[in-house]
Amino acid sequence: MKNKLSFKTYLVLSLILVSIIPIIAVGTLSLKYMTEKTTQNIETDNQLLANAVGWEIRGHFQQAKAVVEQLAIFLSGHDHDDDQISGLLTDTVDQFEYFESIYLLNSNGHIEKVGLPYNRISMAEEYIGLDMSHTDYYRQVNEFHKPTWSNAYLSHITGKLSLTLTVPVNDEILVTYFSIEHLADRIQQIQTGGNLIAMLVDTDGILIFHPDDTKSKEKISLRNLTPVQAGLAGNEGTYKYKWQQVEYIGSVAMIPDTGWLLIVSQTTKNAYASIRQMQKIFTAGIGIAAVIALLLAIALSTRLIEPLRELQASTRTIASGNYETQINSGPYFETEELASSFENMAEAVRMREQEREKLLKTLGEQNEELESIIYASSHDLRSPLVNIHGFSGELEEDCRIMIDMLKDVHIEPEYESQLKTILNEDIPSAIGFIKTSTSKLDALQRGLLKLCRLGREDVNISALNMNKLMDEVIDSMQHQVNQLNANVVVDELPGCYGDRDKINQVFSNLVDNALKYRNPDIKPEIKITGCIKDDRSVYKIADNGIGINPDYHTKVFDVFHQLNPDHKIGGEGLGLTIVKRILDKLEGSINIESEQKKGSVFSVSLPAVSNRTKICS
Amino acid sequence: MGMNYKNFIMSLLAAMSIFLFAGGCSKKKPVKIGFIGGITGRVADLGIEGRDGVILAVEQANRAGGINGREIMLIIKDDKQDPQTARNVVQELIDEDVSAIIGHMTSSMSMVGVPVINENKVLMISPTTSTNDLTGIDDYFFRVYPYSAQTSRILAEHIYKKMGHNTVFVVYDITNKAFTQSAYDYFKQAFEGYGGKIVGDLTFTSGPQVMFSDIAKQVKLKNPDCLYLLANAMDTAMLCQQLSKSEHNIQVVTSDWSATDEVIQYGGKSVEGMFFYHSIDKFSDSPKYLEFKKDFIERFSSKPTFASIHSYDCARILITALKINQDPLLLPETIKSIKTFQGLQSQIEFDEYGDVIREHFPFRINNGIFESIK
Repeated sequence: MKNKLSFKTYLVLSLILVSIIPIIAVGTLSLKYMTEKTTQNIETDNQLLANAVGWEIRGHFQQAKAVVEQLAIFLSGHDHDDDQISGLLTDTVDQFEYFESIYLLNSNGHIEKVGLPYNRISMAEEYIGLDMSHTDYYRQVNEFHKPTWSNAYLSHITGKLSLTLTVPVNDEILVTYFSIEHLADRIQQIQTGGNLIAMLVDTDGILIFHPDDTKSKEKISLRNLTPVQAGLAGNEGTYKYKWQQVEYIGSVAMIPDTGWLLIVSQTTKNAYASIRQMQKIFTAGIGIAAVIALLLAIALSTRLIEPLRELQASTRTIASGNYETQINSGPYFETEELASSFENMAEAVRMREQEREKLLKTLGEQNEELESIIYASSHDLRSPLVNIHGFSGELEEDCRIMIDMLKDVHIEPEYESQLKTILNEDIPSAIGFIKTSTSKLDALQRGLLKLCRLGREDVNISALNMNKLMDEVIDSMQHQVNQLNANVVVDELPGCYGDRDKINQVFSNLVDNALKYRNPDIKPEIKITGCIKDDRSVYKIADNGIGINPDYHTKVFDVFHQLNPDHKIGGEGLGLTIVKRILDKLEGSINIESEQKKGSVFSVSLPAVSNRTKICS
Repeated sequence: MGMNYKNFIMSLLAAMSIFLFAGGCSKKKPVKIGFIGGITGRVADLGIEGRDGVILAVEQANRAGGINGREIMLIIKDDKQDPQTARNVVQELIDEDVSAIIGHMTSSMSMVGVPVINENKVLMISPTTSTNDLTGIDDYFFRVYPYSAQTSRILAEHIYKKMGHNTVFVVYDITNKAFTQSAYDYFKQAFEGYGGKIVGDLTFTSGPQVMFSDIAKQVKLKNPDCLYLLANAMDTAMLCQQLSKSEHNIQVVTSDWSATDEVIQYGGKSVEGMFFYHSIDKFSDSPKYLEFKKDFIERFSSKPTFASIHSYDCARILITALKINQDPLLLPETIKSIKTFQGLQSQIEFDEYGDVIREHFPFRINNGIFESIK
């Protein structure tokens, strides 16, 4: 009972769950919706910026490419002298600040003409004649014969990331070196403010542009990032990734002509700030709701349980015997019905209790009457029995006198034989039977009397030293033990509570039975042991006698039942009946383990003495 | 509801405790490793290549479970090839409690950084520092790159004995003076020891304003058998172009520093026949190297250079040592106790000072590609 869940607790938990679960469900769905909505918004924002930046980059490249192509067309369509060409190249570099330098290579890949910013014009001679035929851009333009953009590389002049645009001009090649700085400036102008950052990545996955200028210069490879891998594989889209210990969400778009990637990102911290806010509100809401639900649940459950508690108190009163108690029905229909049922039950119990008491009284009176009858009968039967026994004795004596007298009297021979038979055999035999029967009747009557007296005698309970008591029992039977050469062993026995005399009687009867119902072919062995189990002292009396058929294990306790009535072992068949009656009165019990010819073990259980109790001597 | 209510609540609390405890346990503190190199500016190619080698090693290690279950956090700093910046970023990394530092990438920057790491007892392992000024010192500085004296001696012997050149003119860039000056001094000592003669030397400071045509003229004036050039790939290509323009055919010998694809791209035919001793074998068929090369190209879209390879080896050595003993203070002893590590191409064996002796691989440029000389 102690381990069962309390109804009140169950009620409280149920009420909390009923209130919390809908909140969790609704909140979870709301969060999911918000997350999807936010992700969509991020994609939209990213895409808008990507389009703007993409157009800007494209425009930038197209403008630069247009200038170079114009230059190429101009150079190819006219005959110009060297100075004109050099002047034109230098003017172009000066005019468009995103050009670092321009070179015109001959068909062998050697630099023929140079265009440099005016502050470096003195270096022009240094470059003329240089062999650039091994460069990637020279090889590519020779292969594809069309304007070709390079990937980003570290400029040996500026130390910054640059790129080249190579344009074929008849059998010559125009190579223009671009600084990415101006491109970066344009991108910066577009994405002022906000949390979005735009990054430019070339076809090798190298970071060309980042709002943090330092990162732009470090030639960082981003090939391991998911959006870069996706973009290089031709897949635009929005992806989450982690870079330099920070988590981002970014959209990747491809820049036409160059094949570069534009990645517009923001940290997931910024992106999902609103969702995190909502999560916090949601969690706080759950917490507050749980507290409120708990308080309300406790209050409500207390109110609901109160009628049950009152009902419980009322039933206790009824159980204690007060059947007239008024049961409080409480404010609810169900508790009212329950109270009514309890009242009906109390009335039924009261009536049955009355009947029981009446029956008990009648039974008690009848038992008393029966015991009185038995007692009176036993007592009153005693005189007639004594008379029968006495007069049987006188008859026996008279027979002997008549036999003596007949020795001196002449009897007709035809009557002498018959007379001798009557006097010597018939009459003594009849008297013998009468005497035996009266003795038996006397023993039975004594036994019944003893049985009746048991019901009337007072019981004196005390703590008993069982080893001492057992010694007394054995001593009283010592003669019998010696005569039968029996071996009686008594172990150390625990104490018990009981009436000394009656317990003595119990064990005397059991030891007596063990000696009486011995196996005549072997030496009788009787062992008495004891132990404590569950606050009970259990004593076992084991013998190696003739044993008891299991079919008779309960019958042996019946009045006048004898195990072997034909073997004339003796006794009235009341020994075990008396043992059981005594044990019933002393809160004891007896149990038999036995089979025919295999001995018997009688187990007697009595209340054990606690260790602190002093054993009475 | 015949449930044991107390047992239910206790089980729920126990489950929550386990969950929280496991959650807490699963977030182990990362192991911080620093990298320093010049990753911006004109000569950032070395720093960038070195950085990328370390990034690859760290990413691979983290995918394989990190260092005993702890993620490796790589903190990258740019020394901008500037001494004050170098000093500052070393201190920044130390303040961030890094277990060790990979770097610097140049001798001049290492000369600045080493006193700082020694004072703070933080191990620094350099992929490409060759200066002899850091050789034979029992301190917190380690390197996987052979020191100048080794390379210079081998080169001097080769030029004099195998190539048969008796006179050499030396041109070197003093923006990385700790390397170039040291390399020149040991080369001169060795070459003159063999019987050769240094007919002249010239320094320059790398930058867009350098007039390589003037340098070429000065070299031509001295008419040496051989030009020993200590400069980066772009400057090497430019000087060779100027020599070619002036039709001065001269054997050019250079160093690891300029042995990249860039020197061929920008040098064209003018770098044909250029000779150098490389600290790596560009054509190694070591399975580890080939796998690394494949992974590097896939990750960075470019071929690994000697800087990338040495940086990768540095990172692997650190990771191996930290797996054995995560105490950063004991790293020098841990590395010395292990002593020999398997690099991408060969074994790397540290002496008691943290220096190494490495094999040198002779290469030259032939028909526009690098060719190994067996």
